[in-house]
Amino acid sequence: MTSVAFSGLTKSYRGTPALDDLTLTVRADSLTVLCGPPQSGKSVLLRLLVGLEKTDSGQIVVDGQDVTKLPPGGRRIGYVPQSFALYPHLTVYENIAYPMRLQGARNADIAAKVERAVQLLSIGHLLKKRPDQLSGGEKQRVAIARGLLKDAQIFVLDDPLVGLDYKLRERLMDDLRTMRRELGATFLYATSDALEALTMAEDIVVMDRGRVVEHAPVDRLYHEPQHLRSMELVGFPGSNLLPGRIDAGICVTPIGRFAVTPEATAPDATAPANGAEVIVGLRPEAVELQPAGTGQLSGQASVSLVEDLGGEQVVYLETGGLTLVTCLSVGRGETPAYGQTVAYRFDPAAAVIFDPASSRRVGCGCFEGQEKIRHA
Amino acid sequence: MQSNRSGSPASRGLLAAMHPTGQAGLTARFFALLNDRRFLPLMLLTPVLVFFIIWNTIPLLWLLGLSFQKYSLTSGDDPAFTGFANYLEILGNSSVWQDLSRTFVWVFLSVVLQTGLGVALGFLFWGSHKLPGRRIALTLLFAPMVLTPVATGTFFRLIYDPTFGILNQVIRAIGLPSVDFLGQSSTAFWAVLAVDTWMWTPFLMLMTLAALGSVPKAELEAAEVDQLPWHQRLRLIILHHGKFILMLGVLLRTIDSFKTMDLVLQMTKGGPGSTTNLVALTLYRQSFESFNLGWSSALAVILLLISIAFTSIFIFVLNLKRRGDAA
Repeated sequence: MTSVAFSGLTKSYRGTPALDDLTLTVRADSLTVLCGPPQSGKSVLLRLLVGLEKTDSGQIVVDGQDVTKLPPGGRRIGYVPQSFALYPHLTVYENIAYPMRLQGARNADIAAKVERAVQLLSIGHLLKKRPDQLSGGEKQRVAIARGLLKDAQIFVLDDPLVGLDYKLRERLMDDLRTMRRELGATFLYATSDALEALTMAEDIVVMDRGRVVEHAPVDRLYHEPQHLRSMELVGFPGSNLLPGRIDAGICVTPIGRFAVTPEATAPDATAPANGAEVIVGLRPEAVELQPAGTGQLSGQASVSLVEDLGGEQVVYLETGGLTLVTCLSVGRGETPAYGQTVAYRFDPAAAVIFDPASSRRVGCGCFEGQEKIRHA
Repeated sequence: MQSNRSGSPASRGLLAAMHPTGQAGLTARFFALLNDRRFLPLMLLTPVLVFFIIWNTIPLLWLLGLSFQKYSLTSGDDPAFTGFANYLEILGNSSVWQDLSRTFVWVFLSVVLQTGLGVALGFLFWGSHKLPGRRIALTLLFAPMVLTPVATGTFFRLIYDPTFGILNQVIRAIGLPSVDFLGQSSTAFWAVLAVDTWMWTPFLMLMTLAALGSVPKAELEAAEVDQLPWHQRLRLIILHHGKFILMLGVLLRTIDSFKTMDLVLQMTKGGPGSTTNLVALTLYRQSFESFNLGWSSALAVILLLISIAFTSIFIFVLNLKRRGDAA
């Protein structure tokens, strides 16, 4: 059981801060996904953990041992970089086996381990080839095998599936989860792809501008986001973020008014004040193209765009001067067409209210006391 | 230029748009030609081809022709075709052979020394990219390379001077007898070689830095994480990516070193005796001091062939390595 703890980590490049006093403890024996936009500091954090960059200040503790000053080789961390970085001279087999051999593993053990990884990643036919004879996806699979076979309890994967085709990504995501469970190791995995994060993660760390904005198990983070950036970044398609204002315990938005349940979860967060401007987050799947039922708000909107993803459709609705995104399963009801006027509804309990200044969650909607939607 | 820009210029190409058609004059036909996709490349290449033919091809053919003639500017005789007589004379001339073997020793030593030092310095600078003052140090180190050899030769002749040269002043200051570095046969060759090394080590350092710059950072990082020993990093990663540029540097230096003349002329004039007489200096003397044009042309052709041989060996070795990698 090996946990990783970062405390007060700061790193800047030529005066530009990449990590800003970051503190984070990663649960042992978990797959933790660092999710954030490009430049949010995910990669830097992982490179600091591996030891490829030096910290400006702060501490990295792995399994109770301070590794901040250790060289990369001394940290016993498996690393799968974003770029493949295979040794060009060596065959695929040697590329995978060589690091283990350097660690002093016996040949029989190596062969057995390689065999196992080769099966999982379907690279058996490549073993005798050299890196320059492989495609990008093949190289990446070899790099994953090489990184994961290291005798370590912590594995760092820096966006390893970027640029691979969709099918291969799906398969590798499954394979990586399987491998992690088999190894019983701690995985830190960086990605900027929300879908990948949701698929892979046991825990998600949402990063933004060199800070951790939220760290929670994946389902809690998705359903109960505590930070505006979590709602924005984790989820596909992106959440609806609407402007709102608090008026005597009622949240007034362009698509309706509903009561607010204040729930200042963070210790320093406060309930929304009267007259305060807020941001209302609404997941696409919370908006349904159905006439209103009990306990729901409803309205009329015109369809401005339909994206067909095969199994589901992303429908963009224009109403009250803003765009609402919704996600429909194909085959349930009629398919909306461009320009059509449709009825939609949503449960105000699904609306999350954020304070725009701190980006913190300050409450959520509820049905009580709602009024009928008025249209512009 | 005319202001008439009717029609759709984009559809007719830029040059046509600048020169409206309709006037079937010579200029219009010229610009029509420029728009011709088959003709334009030829037009663009013509200047450099003309330059190359006038300054390279014709002189080379002329040289080849001269090498088969007995032609001396001092004798007053007309040039006469003598077949391979010049070549046979050169191949039978023991002093040319001596110059040639001395030149090979010179090439070998200078290339080995400069490559060794250049690569070492290159690695040092590569590993010190965060050191303050690195840029200034680099610039200073490159200075010898950009000086003309004649100037460098003159400086060092003065530095080496037995009576007022600074080197001998230092030697005397520490209580040793002064040495006439360029005047005695035991030291002259080495003294000139040292200057050549001072001049050209930066070039190989530059090539080393370029070679190291071509090594992917990700592979080096992987090696660091995997704790690859340094000699394996060198073999598996650095040489794999950098060897082509490095070999190119060695090749250029070899060819250049083979032609060394100006430095020696300025420092020792080939002396004392013939201890620093390189073959290029012989060539220079025969052609521009003795005006023995036929003979020296033949020697020039031989040296050219040797240079081509060097180049072919290097190219062969590099290609062979590449083929080996692909297999």
